[in-house]
Amino acid sequence: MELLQNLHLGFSVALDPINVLFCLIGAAGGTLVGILPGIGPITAIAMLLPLTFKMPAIGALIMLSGIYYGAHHAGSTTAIMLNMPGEPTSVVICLDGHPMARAGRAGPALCISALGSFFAGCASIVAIAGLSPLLAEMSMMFGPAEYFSTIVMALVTASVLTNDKRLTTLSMSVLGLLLGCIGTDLTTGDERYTFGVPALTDAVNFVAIAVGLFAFTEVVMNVGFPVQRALAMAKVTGLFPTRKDLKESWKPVLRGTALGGFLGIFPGTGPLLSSFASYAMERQLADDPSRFGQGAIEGVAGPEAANNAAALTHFIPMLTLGIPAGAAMALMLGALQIQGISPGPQVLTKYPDLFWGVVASMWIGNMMLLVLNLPMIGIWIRLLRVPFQTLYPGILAFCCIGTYSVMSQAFDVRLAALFGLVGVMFKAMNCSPAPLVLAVVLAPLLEENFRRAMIMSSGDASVFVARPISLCILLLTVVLALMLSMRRGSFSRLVSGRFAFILGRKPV
Amino acid sequence: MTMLKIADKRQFWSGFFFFCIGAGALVHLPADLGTAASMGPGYFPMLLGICLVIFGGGSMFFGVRSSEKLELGPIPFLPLIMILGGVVAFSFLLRPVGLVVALFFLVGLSCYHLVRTHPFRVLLTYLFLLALTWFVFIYVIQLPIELIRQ
Repeated sequence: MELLQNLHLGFSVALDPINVLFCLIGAAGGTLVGILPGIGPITAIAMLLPLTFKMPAIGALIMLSGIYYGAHHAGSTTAIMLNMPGEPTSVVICLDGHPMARAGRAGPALCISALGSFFAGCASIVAIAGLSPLLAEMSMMFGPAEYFSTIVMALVTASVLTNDKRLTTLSMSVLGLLLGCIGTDLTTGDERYTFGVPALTDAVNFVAIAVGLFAFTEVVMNVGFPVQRALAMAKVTGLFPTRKDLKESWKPVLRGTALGGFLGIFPGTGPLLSSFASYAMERQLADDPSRFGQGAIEGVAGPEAANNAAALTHFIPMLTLGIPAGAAMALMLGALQIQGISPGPQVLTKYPDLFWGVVASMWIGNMMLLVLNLPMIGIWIRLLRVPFQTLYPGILAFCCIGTYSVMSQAFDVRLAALFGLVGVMFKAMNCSPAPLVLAVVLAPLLEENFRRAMIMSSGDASVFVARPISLCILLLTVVLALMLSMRRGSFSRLVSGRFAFILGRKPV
Repeated sequence: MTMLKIADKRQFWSGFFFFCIGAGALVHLPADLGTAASMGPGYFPMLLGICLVIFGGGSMFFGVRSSEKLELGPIPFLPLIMILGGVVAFSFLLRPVGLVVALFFLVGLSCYHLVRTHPFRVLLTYLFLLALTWFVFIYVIQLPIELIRQ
C-alpha cells in the first residue's frame, strides 16, 4: 500500500493549482521553444532556466521537467516534419517518421508518437512508484568504489552513441572532467585553475558552457550557413491514424515501453540507448524489415515509447544517484543544485513530496502535451516556418540574460562567448559537445568518490575490481561499449546522414 | 624528408587541441599532489591531464595515419566575430550601463548584415526584445537587472 500512498502524495502535490500552472508553463514553453528552428532541447532548457530561479524547489523542478519533455517532444515533431532531430535520441524518429511525412502521413506519425509517449509515460510512472524505494535502498549499498564505476559507465556509454571517433569522444569527456575541476577543491579548499578570476573561485558555471557550446554555436552556424528549411517541409493532411496504423503500433509501443523502462534505470545510458535498441528490435521482429526506413509506423511508435519511458524511469538514478543521462538532463540536475538540493539517496526520504510530486507531475505534463500537441499541431507547424533570421536575436538575448542571472556574474557571459568560439571549432573538427557537458556536471562527484575509495583502500587502485558490485558495473560498461562499437557499424551507415547534420552541419 | 601529409585533418587538429589543453593542465597543476591514498588538489587533475595528453597524441597519430581524407569543416568567421562580439559587449555593458544599452549593442552587432539594408527591422527587433525581456525578467520574475543604471 506504500505504492498508493506515494502516488497519492505525489498527485496531491502535483495537482496543487500553482504546480499545475508551473507544469503547464514548462510543457508549453518547452514545446514552443523546442519547436523553433535552430533550438534543440538543451538550448531550450538553458534559455528557460532563469525562469525557475525564484521558485520554490518543487515548482522549479516540475517546470524544468515540463520544459525537458516539452522540448523533447518538440524534437520528435521537428524530426518527423523536417528530418531534423533535436537531440541524438530523436535521430531514430527521423528514420521512419520523416518518410511518413513525405508520403503525406505526418499527421498519423505525430499522433502515434504522442500517444505512444503518453502510454509509455503512464506505464513508467507506475514502474517508478513501485521500484524506486527498492532502488534507493540498493543505492544505499553503493560505496565510493561503486559510485566511481557507475559514473565511469555513464561517461563511457553516453559518449559511445555519438558518431565520432572513439578517441575524440573520450577526450571530450576527459576535457569536461578537467573543466569540472576548475574552482575550489571541495576537500582541501585549494583553488585550482582559477587564474585569479574571482568568478571562477566557486566552480565553472555549467550553464555558461552549455549555452556557449550549444546555443551560441548553433546561432553562429545557422547565420553563417543558412539551411533551406522550407524545402524539406512536408504537408500535414489528416491527423488521425487509421485502424491499420493502430493495429501495427500497439505492440511496438508495449515493447518499447518495457525496454525503455528497463534501460532507463541504468545510470547515464538509458534514454539514449533505448530508442536505438527499440528501433533495432522492431526491425528484427518485423515480418518485412525492408519497410523500415521507408516510413514504417513501428519505427516511430516503438522508439518514441521507449524513449519516453526511459526518460521517466531515468529520474530514479538521476535523483537518487545524481547521475544524469545526457547533456539536457545534466542541465536540469545543475539547476536542482542551484536550488540547494543535492541529489542522493536521501532525496526520497528527505524530500518525498519533491520526488513524488515531480513523478506525478510528469504524468500530468504528458497529458498536457497530448492536449497541446494534437489539436494545436497546426499552430506548431506554422511556428516551424518562422525564419531563423528573425529569431536569433531573441535566442541570444535570452541566453545572455539567463547565463548572467545564474550567479549575477557578467564574466559568465564572456565565458559562454568563449565556449561559443570553442563550439564552432568543435563543429569544424567534428567533435560533438554533449559528452563534455555531461562530464562537467559529473566531475565533482567522480573526483570525490575516487578520492574516498582510494583513501579506504589506502591507495590501492584494485579496489574498483575487487568489490563485486563495482566489478559488475565495470564489466557491464565494457560489454556495452563493445556491443555498441560493433553495432555502430550498421547503425552509423543507417543514420550517418542524420548524425552528420547534428555534428557536422551537412544538410541532409 | 618529405612534408608530413595529414590525412584526417579533423582528427589531427582536435587531437592537437586536446594535447595542448592536457599539457597546459599539467604545467599549471596545483602544487600539492599528495599520494594515491590521500590525494591533494593536484592529483585528480594530474591524471586527467595525462589522459588528455595521451588521447590527444593518439588522435594526432591516427589523424596522420588515417585511411580517410577529411578536411576541416567550414568556419563562418564574420558571423562568429560579430555575434560573439555582441555577446561580449552585452556582458561588459549590462552592469555599468544597464539593459537598454547592452541589448542595443547585442542586437545591433549580431544583426550586422541587416543594419544597413533593413535598419527599421533591426530597430523593431530591438524594441520588441527590450519590452519582452523587461516584462519576463524584470517585471515578472524580478531578476536584479536594471534597465538603466541609476
